[in-house]
Amino acid sequence: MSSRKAYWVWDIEAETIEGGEFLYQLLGIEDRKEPIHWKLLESEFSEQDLISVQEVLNQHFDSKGKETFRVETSHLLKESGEQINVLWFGEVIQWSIEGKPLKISGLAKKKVDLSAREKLSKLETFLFSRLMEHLNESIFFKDLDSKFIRINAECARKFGLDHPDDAIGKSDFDIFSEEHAREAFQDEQKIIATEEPIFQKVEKETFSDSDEVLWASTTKMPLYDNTGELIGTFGITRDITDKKLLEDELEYNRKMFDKLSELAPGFLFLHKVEKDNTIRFPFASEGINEIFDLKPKDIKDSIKPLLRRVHKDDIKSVLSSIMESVTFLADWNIEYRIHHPTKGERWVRGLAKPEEQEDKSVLSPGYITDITEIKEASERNDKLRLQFQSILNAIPNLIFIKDLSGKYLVVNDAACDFFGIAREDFLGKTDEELGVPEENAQNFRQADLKVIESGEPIFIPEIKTVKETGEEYWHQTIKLPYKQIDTDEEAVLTIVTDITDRKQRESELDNSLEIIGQQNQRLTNFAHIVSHNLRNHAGNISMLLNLHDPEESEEEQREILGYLNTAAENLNESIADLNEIVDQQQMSIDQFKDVNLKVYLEKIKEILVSDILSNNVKFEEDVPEDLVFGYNPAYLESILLNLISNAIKYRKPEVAPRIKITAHETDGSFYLEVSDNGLGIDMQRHQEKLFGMYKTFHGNENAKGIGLFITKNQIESMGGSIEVESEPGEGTTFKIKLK
Amino acid sequence: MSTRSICIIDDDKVYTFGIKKIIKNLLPGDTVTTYNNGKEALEQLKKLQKASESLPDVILLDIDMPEMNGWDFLKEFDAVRDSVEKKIEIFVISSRIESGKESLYQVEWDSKVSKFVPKPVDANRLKELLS
Repeated sequence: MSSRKAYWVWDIEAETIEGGEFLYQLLGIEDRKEPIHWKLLESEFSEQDLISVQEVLNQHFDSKGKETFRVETSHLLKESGEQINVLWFGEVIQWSIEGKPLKISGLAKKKVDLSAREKLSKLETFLFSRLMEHLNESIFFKDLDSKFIRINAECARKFGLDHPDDAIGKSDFDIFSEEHAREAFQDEQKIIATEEPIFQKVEKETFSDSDEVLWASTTKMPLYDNTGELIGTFGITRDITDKKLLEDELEYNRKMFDKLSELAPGFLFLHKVEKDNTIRFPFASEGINEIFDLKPKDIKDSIKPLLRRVHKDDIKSVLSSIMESVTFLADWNIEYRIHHPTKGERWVRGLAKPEEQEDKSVLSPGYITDITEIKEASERNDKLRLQFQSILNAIPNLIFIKDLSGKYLVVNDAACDFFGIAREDFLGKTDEELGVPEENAQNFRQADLKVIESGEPIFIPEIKTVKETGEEYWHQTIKLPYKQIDTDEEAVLTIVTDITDRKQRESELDNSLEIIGQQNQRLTNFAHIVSHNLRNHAGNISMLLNLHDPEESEEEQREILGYLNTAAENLNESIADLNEIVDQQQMSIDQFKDVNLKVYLEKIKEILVSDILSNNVKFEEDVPEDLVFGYNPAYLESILLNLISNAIKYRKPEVAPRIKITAHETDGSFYLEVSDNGLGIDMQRHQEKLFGMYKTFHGNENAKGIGLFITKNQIESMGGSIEVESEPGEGTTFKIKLK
Repeated sequence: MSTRSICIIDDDKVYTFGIKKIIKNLLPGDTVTTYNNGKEALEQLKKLQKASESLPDVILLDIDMPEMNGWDFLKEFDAVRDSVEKKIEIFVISSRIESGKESLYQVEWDSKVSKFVPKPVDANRLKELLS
């Protein structure tokens, strides 16, 4: 009924009602243009209806028209004599200033009142058609020959038909592939024969005209008519293709996972702690068998079988680690011991990553492996390492290994001792960080890099290191390319040999060689002088003997004999001098003794006392009384005697001799200076010969020319030196470094 | 052979005695003068030159001597030698001269020294030199 037909307006003041067709129809009035008087309508209401209308209206008025009123009344239609119920809806549309309702407007509708049975039947038909139209599942009805009687819209869509009616009279063979159609046909014939339904059969649907494959879940039942006679089958098919694919994928993944977890050499699990703190293992791989000798199902709902395997000393830490991991959602990572029923004590490592779920439970996928062998290997490794280190430590050479960045990886005790650095401070540091002088550190680094680049060892014959204490060390170094055992990374192995002792011996040898060289030089000199002198004397004697002639006069013979005597004496004297030189050369250096220079000086002055007194020699001395040092006493005596007696011997005849003697110690060396006011020496003429043998410069009768040679020899053999400064007529100064 | 004047400059008295004796025996006509060292010899020879007395024909010169050695004498003596027309022959006889190395000295002193002779010399060698 359209609202135009049902419309009405009631003018309360005028007591008239105007309205649509329905109102006139209800009152049986032909003329539908005139307004209807309220009294006329009122007469159509039963007494009871009027009361309820009055009540509803009053309520509406009281509420100032807030809510639309609704009231149902019964009427008898005049035309047909039919009993109908009418529903009235409306509201005040105009109020007086005083708040009285003036006009009410609304709708009046015939209320259709069917019998219960009719109502149900109509509803079913309606619902059925709605279902057939809108259901997402395919519904089909077939006759006894499995030909379609009716299908729904979805089914038509699936079959590719424009309208459901297009399927009528067709069979599955027209739609599906032979294979699927046949299977469906057989199922339906079985239902017809047995009148047993088939529930939720998963079918693979393949079509006659396409390659599409669909998966469906179908329920089929026998179809009876209203008399109860079997007239065919009907069914409902739900498309589960997406679900099926997902399931397939899940199944595939699950299988793959199972396979992988079988392959993995450990125990994979999903550990779940529910909100109520119950612990379950929704998944446990077969690996649990090998590691714990348990079955996955043993721990499905309880962790206890697993905990019972844990070593009693480790149970506490295992439990607290699990608690901590779950509570703080921190990674679980722990090594602990278990007791395996057949293998005994084993080491395992557990790893898990907890994740909080939406339902506040905590799910931890994890992994437990047996690390007993790794552990044992690592212990063996540790032992080997210790052994290696102790071998390294037993070697007196400095041994260390540095990595690419110059950091120490390994150092032995000898290296630690030499550098005075503890091993733990050594490792992981570079030379620079350890305070090695920059130049040295850079040199070492360059050598290391060269070894790594070339892959060839380097030999460094000598490196000098001066410690803070001033001690000098000499090292010989071999650098070898080395591969780190764990990482295979390049490194440099350095082996350092302390050659300080050898260097010292070498330097001693050098000194000895120098001394020997000097001795040799002296010996050559000596030999030269020997030949010079002895040859002269021998030549003279030979010459004189040849002159001897028995026919010569006695006088002449006597003269020759006299010269022969002189020559022999000269020869003796030369030999005695040479003996003296040989003697002092053989004076042992071992005859070392602490000597006080001042004391020895006094001793010499006593020896020379007659010379000093007769020549009125004056001494000027600056010699510390406590100047004591280790020296060969015989040498010191000889040196002092020679210098002082020379100073007296070569005095100026008319001048009183003055001898100045000073001595001092500087930096562990001892210096002596003896100067006189004597004749002096022409250095330009005599420097070369000054310290040679048999040289005298003054024509002085006492000059034997051997003293300074011996003096120089003695001083040099004690590690000292002698220099002379002199001008003729100005006196002479001997500057001596005693040692 | 005319008689010659021979001069020996050497500090070894035994040697000068021996040489003088040998020369007397070998060459009885020759005169021999001896000096102890270069200085003494130079002084005396200068005196002779000044007095226009004849200088020696031959000088037997030692090297290692006190006061003035043979080398210095050779240098100083040039002034005397150049002032006279007479040829003065000088033989250096010294133990400084090693046997076999005479020629090394000869190259250095060729214009001044006739021959370098190692000491000792015997009568035959001396006779050879002076003949």
